[in-house]
Amino acid sequence: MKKGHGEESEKEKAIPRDDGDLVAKVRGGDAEAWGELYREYATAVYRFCLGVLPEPADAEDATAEVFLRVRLRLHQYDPERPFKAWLFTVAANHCWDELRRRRTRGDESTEEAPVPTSEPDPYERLLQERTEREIAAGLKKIPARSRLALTLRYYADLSYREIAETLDVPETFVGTLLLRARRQLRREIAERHV
Amino acid sequence: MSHLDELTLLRHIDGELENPRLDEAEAHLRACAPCRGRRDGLARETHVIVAALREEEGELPASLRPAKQGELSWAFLLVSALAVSGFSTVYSRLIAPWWAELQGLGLGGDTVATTLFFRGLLWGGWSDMRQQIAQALTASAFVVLAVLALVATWWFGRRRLGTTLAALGLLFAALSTPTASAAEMKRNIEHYTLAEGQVVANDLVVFARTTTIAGTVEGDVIAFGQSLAVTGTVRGDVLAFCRTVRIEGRVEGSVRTGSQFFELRGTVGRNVTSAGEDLTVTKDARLAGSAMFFGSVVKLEGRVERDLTVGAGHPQISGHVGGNALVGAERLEILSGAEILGTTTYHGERTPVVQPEAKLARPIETHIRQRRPRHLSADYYWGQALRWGAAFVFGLVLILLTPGFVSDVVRTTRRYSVSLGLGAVALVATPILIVLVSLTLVGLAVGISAAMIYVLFIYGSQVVTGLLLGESVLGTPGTRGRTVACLALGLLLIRIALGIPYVWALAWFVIVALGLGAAVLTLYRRARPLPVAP
Repeated sequence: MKKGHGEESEKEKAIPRDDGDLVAKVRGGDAEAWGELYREYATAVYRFCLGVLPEPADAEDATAEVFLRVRLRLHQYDPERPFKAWLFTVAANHCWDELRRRRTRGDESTEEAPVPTSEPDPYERLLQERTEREIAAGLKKIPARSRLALTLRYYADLSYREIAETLDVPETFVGTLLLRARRQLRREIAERHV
Repeated sequence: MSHLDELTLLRHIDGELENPRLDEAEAHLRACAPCRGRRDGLARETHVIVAALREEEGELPASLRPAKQGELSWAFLLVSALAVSGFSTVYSRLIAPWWAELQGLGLGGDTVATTLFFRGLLWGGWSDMRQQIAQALTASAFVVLAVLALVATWWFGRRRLGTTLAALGLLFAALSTPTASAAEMKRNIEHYTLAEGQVVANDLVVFARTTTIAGTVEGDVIAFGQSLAVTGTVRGDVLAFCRTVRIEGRVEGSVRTGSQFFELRGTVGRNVTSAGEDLTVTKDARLAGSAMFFGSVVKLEGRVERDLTVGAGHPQISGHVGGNALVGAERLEILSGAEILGTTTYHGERTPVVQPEAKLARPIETHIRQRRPRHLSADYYWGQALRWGAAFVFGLVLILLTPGFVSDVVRTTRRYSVSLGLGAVALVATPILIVLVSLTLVGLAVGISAAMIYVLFIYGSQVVTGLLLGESVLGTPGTRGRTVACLALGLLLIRIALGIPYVWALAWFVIVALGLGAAVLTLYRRARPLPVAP
């Protein structure tokens, strides 16, 4: 996976590193290894779901469901790829399915914002002046797909290609999606504080 | 010189630009200070977004934390104590007195099951049938084990579902292979008649709508179907599971039936055991051994040379009993013409009617059960506590073994209408399917296994509904201890609901249907193909 935003050391502390041996043991039927893998990644997956889904209870359910899926589908995992990326792809797929289901029920707003233009954004520098807590609160307010895209890129460290596969959009559209998400976030922060 | 757009700058800092666009962008950035400034601004923005996403502080909820050992030790201690005292009570109050009464009737020495069933089978030389029953039971055990293995492998994800299903298919195919049989088999025929003068030299097993034995069977007769009539001679035993069984001829062995209507007009050389609705021994009938009848209406007009045991709603005795008579009934009538040479013991709610012309060797010993509102009796509450304890233990085991599945089922239960509807269908349709599958001896193993699993699911449904009820009162559980508390409270509420007169039947249906439906729905959702992971 390509790394570009220079947060490797900090991110590695928050998200556990890949462990090929552990995954291989789990695939061989080692229950202890499964427990270790779960302990290593459960918090990260839970926080990921917490960032994407509206309610903590949803995140709790989703985390349980994600690990169940991982367990059932571990034979489909390609060991050549980083396990972490695969795990977050499964988590994102599940959360995205859940959000789509909710959208049809009308209790989650995922309306689209305009596609970014080449015009400079008047709020371009706004985010840099805000605290992390304010931005975290703003992230909760932007549409679900935008929030999911930002979380996949900047929390789960997925590449544009992996995000495209997860969200079922063309790879060339991922940059636009991320930029749109940033603009929505900037506007959300601006509306709150200006 | 035109500047780089924001999208290109973003792709650059995300490491998603590739050559030649990457080289062009970097060359431009080296030369253009405003674009460098915007790029650095985006990079700082990325930094704060990453930090904000890290700001998400959520600690793993207790329900998702790996279980700690020893957390439930108090519950196990409590429930073990409850189970031991419960077993002791049930044994001392129920099993021991019943056993003593049976021994008094001369049925001691072997277990009741052996006396009722297998002893007769073995004595009659039913090696073939015994072999088939043993095969069916063994196969049932195999099927149950295979299903458990399926669930286990599926749960732990170590095998493909398809592979396990294929293995199960092979197992069923192996079970379906016909086995060598010494008995004469008549299967899947509409009407079977062994005409007068015809002889079957060994055992005869018949699966037919109607079966008539007018000839002679040297061995035993085993019949499944709508009706069986024996007007000829059977040298061995008769075992029948038919709606109507009529014995007009001579059976030299024993007769065991499970039928709605049973009528004995002929002679039986040994014992008769019959359970059904309407059981009659007519005036001409003669039974050389003992008789055990369990039904709504039992009429004894003929002769039973040894002991008579009756469990019935309304028995009428006007015939001869050579031994003791033990009757448990709502109302007993001993009519003129009756003759009981041994003791006569009656347990019931109403005083028995004994006509003066009836000849009893000894005065009837009567035990009248006083009907009191059951909620006034301490035994009622003790029984309820035991049932609660048993369900609680079962629930704890389920929660410990399959925490994810149980919480999934409870969550599914919240889709009330779907769960209730599906559960109602499963509740009614499953027994019908089991009966259909069991109609052939080959399908018996599958039928028995399915029945065991069905009963297990019905019992387990109270755990699911109990958890749902508990959660509605105490809130969604966050810790395992709280889940146990929800279970305890929910099961208590269920016991209270099932204790309310008249309402209990509806409550039972809702509890079972809701839990059963949710379990079926969850199993279906887990079994269906999941979206392919990238």
